[in-house]
Amino acid sequence: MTPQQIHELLLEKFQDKIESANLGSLEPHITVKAEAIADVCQFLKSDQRLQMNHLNNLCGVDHLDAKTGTGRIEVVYHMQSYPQRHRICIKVALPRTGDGPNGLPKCPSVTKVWDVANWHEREAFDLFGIHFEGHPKLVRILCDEGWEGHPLRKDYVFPTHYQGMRAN
Amino acid sequence: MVLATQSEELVEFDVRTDEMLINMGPQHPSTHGVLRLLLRTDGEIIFGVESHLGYLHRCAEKIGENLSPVQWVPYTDRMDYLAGMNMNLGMALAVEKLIGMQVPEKAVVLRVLIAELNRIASHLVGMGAYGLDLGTFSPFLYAFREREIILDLFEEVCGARLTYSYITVGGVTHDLPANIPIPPGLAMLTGRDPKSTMSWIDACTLFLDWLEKRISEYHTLLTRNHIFIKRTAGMGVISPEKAASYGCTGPVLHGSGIDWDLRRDGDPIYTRMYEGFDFKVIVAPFGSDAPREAVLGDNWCRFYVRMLEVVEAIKLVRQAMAKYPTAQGEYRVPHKMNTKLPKDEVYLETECPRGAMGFYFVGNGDSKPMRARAKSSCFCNLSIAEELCEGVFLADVPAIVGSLDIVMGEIDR
Amino acid sequence: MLNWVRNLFNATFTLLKGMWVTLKVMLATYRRTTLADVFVYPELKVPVKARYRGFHRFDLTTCIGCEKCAAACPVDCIYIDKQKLGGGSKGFRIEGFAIDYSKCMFCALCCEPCPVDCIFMGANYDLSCYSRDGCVVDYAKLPLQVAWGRATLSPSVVAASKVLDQPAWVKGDPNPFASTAS
Repeated sequence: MTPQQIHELLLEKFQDKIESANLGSLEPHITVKAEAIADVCQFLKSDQRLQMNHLNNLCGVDHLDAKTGTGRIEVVYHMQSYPQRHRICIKVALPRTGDGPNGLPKCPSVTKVWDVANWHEREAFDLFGIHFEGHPKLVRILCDEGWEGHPLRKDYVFPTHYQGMRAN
Repeated sequence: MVLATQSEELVEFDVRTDEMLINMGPQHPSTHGVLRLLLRTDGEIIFGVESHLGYLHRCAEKIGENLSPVQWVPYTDRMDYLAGMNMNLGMALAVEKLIGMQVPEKAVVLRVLIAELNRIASHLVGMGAYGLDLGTFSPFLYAFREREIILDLFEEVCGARLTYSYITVGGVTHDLPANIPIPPGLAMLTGRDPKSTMSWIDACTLFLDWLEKRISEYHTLLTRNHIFIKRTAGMGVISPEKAASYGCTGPVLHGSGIDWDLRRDGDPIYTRMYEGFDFKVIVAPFGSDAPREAVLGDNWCRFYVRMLEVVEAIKLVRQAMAKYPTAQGEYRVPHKMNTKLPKDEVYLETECPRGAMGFYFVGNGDSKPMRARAKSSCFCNLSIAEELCEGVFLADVPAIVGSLDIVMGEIDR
Repeated sequence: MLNWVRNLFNATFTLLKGMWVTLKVMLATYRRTTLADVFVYPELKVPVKARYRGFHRFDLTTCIGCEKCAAACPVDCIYIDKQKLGGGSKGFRIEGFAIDYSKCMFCALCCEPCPVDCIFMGANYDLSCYSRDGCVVDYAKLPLQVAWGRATLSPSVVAASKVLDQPAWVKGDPNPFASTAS
């Protein structure tokens, strides 16, 4: 299936939950409303025409406008289907701060759809500070448990000290 | 698979005692690096596994956002340090797709040649280290004997033995050297004069001829060894559905019987490189080759996929060497370090020895990418270990983790 | 019972076959020359390859102080200290050209952009030091024998470079080897 056909299928099923699509990009992607992402992913995996049974990649992207200090954080899902041999990229745009714990933005977890999303979401939480709702164990994975801040955010300030030791 | 908890023999002898937490790693030799597995054991039986990663975390992605892609190439070497060439290749291809660059034929042939040679070296270590995990030492020494010659050949080409930075945006950094002193290890093993010189292609051909004869020895030492079969066959079974759901790639996926190789099914910019090359995708089950105890997706299948991939890689290297003298064009097209990346994004996966390594670049019109993401294949492959290790013996944990063939440099990035 | 016998037979047989392979390899080492017969480590090392990327070699006489190498360095480990020559002549006087080897990762990206080819990767790989200060090698203050490429980098010359506060040679100074060359 081409990205256009996938986009049409999703529009037909989810109507206004699909925000926009950029199918002319090198990586054709469809932007989905945050609250619908788990349902969209479940549909993408279980629908017989799509069968997206493999999640290639899940990561965050920080779009920070340095001038205004505002912007959005995107969660990017790259997925593909072994039987159908097609792939698509789904995106979710989140505010930089939200009503999750510690003021983090919230996004529904897709761990129930793909098992691999478990560790990818932990990594995105660790490095970008995205709170995935419904994740079985959302703790830091790469950084230390007591680490402060989320290093891949554009406004992250590098610590001068780590546990009393000079860091640089 | 019969779990240890369900085995009648065990219930009879009742090896269960008190629950105990055991730290395996981060300095354990069979966790292949600094992986820490927190095992919840009941006697000899594992009831829960928790992996702790991040001991080798260097935040390579943050570094990549502050460097131009060419400058980031040396950092990709240090991700999967056993297959640096393949890491360079994936990253270079992603950037080339983003800026719409075409690479000359000669560079493509050199890339295939070098990347497949590195696949042999990487699988040799994977094989040897797996033998070491299961308690046999000789295959490890033999594997390193062979790998040493490949490293010597790489040193002749790019000047480094581990962190190559050879494949870069726009091609490769050097052409093949014309005349080289024969690698010392190769001279000893083939009975040549260690002071003699020969062309790089001849040295590589000589090595591959020698390696091909050794492969049956590895099969005798490991693949067909009854103790090895008993330790691996039927253990750590990953069903095809689980393999897809856990995002397993590479030999782990092939061992579970899913026929998907990015060199054939991947992105057009990657598959175009392998056009005109004749190779077979190794996929389990192996029919009469497999021992009676083996089932689809077990440790033995994953190991055997690697062994056969070495044979395929030898074929590919030979074809690339045959193509090299007639390949057109330069080995590199000029690429300025401060080339602006367009406001677009690209995600490209390549078939590395350990699975699909993905690079995701988001450009914003600057020479530095706004987001440089390296999706690690081992990271996904390792995430299944927590489930696989539940209900097995303590001694089987190295067998299962070793069969996934992880490299912590890539997982922690 | 049959299973037990088959197991025992298979294990013994395949084990013996493996032992036979190792025995053949062991006997072969007596028939061929070994690495230790030809190379004896500290006295006769295995030579590094022509393209080996070891510690840098830097040519003080041709460097124009353009800082292209420092800009290309991914880890920012090259520090160039320079002053305008003045007095009608163009260019810079290189006061210091330091490379911090605790950061350098020998990627050779600094060698490519150099317009005068004054920095390239050398063949030296065994340089160690007892303090972090010794990792910073200031190529402009190395003894002239090394700076002019007549001797290789060694811990003692790095130590000697630490006591200088002026560059060993700058553009315009006479050639220190002019008399020996003539």
